[in-house]
Amino acid sequence: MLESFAIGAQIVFQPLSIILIIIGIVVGIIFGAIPGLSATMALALFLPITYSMDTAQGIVLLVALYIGGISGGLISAILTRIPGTPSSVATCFDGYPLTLKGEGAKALGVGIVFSFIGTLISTLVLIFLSPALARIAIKFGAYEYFAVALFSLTMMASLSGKSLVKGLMSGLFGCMLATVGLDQIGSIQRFTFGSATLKMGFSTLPVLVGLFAVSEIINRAESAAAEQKAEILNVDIRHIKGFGFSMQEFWSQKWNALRSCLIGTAIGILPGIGGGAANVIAYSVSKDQSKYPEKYGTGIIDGVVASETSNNAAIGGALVPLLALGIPGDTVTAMLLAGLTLHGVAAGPLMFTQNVDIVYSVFLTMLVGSVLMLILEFGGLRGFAAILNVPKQYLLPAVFLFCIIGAYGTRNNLFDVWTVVLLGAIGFLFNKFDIPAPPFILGFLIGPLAEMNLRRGLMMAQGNFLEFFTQPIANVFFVMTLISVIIAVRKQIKTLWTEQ
Amino acid sequence: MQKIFNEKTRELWVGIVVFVIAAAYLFGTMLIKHSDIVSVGAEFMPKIYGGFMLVLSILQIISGYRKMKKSDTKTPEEKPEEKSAEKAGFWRSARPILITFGLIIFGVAIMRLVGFVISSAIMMFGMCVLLTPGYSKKRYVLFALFSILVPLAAYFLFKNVLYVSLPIGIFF
Repeated sequence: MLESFAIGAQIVFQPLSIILIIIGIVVGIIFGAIPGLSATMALALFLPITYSMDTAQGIVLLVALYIGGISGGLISAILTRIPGTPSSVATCFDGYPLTLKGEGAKALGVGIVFSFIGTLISTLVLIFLSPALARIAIKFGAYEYFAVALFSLTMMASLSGKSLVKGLMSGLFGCMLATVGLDQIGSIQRFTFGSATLKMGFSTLPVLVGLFAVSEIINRAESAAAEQKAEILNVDIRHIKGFGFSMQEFWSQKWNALRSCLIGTAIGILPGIGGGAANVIAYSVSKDQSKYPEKYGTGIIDGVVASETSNNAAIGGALVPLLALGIPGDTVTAMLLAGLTLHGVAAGPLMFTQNVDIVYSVFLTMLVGSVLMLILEFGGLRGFAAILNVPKQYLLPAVFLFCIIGAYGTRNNLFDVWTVVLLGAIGFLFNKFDIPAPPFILGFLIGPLAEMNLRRGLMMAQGNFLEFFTQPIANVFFVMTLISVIIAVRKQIKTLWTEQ
Repeated sequence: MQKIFNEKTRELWVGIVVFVIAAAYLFGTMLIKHSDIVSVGAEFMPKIYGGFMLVLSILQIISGYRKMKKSDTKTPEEKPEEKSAEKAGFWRSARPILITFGLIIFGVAIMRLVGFVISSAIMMFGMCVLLTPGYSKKRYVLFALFSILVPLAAYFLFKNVLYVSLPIGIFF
């Protein structure tokens, strides 16, 4: 292994490689921070550029873009309540309230540091455990995936806030929206009304961007005219000490961070789920396990820690099946796979013997990249906080512009722009009628996964659902699901009893 | 109109609207073709979702109805800003929402005709005006410059540098 690291170090520690990592992280942060653009888009745009590069250096650039892109999402999530990427959705829930309290710099600092910790720990897992974890991941079939998805869906309960019924309705609405288009197994049209456009279904990025960005603009428009005095959101950027939070606060988050890191890594390892779901699931688990769950959503660092640690941990997790099996863990690793293919490298177990230089370049890029990300984001902390001083009448239209670009860029179709508008209306109505949005997101992301694997499992079992309970890994998740449901029902009964 | 969406009846209306959506969705599942090739059809999960949604909407209606009956006729203590908004009337408070939403719909609708730059400029200018807080002066010239330069810069960057497709209209 040391020899392999030496081979990787020869590539990564070249001046050109370090410059590429810095460029990749900076560009990735920009793409991640701007709502509508994403890490996936960043990789898609830079993929052709890497064609003319040396293979290893091209992959180094792409991995750096990945790290920057996932991490950058926290900036807009915290400062404007609009997630820069799907991986930072849950960061909005507590990050923005922290900003409203005047603690935006602290939220940013917490997000940056715990993003670094998440990336670092998952990279260590990737380096030392990837072949073993890949062997476990390969055992996940339809029954196991359904069990994981079902467990994830029960998280809707903890994200429901005051009303469990409304939370479940929101989650189901997300599941229902995800059914529009072509059915994943038989390609049967569902709710398309004969429209070729609706056959494509709703894409994740426009849905999230509309739900948060457009609804925020409409909310702002409603309140702007009535505002008679300036919001005191100006952050004193000159007096931010360190990362904006204390060592005591840092240590208080150790278990939260570790748990979220493990959740993110585990979800990242399972192909098809990704950081978009990891941050929401980690957030809801953190809330469930917390001694003060009622404070979540009001502006506490625990929520930011859970979300940012898990979404960056999912990076390392997603690279496990890519490198060990040649199966991408999420959309971004699918781009990385494309990058490897472009350079004539076959991802999979043989990489560890035939392309040791690339594998260990990836490992070292993750390590070096996470440190550089920490340094660069620390250096930019004051700049990011200064964004809060930009008047909203300029900031939000500019954000909206990039949302349009990003939505259109998803599939080069105006339908995705209309999706942004539609979800903006839905997000606004959710806000007006106190319907929580997080369960909707969970339902939209996990619903299709649950459906596909349930149907596959039932077809394999020839309609006998009891077959699902014959798999030990699936049973573990079913038991966790049952516990989660019991806890949620108990909480709701307790709430109703207290109200009466 | 104001009374329909007040706090007492809001929950009931949520339930009713969701009931209608769930019923329409379940009706839609009947239009999904059943395939003989796949044993567990495409209509399977939508029917489950629709059924659960119907049940939840009924629970919500019951809860909303109970809340409505329980509440007394006195209006709760309101914050000063909420009182002024109510005094202004439902339509006056809804006006900026409707205008913003209308602006966005208009902008996206004309995007295919006039292109990304012009439609974005119109939307951004409108948003700058609508999002300016009441205490701040509306700087129309600055808004206009901002609304023209930013979409142009974005167009140049994404189209010519990053080669990202953007909607093209009759001009560019």
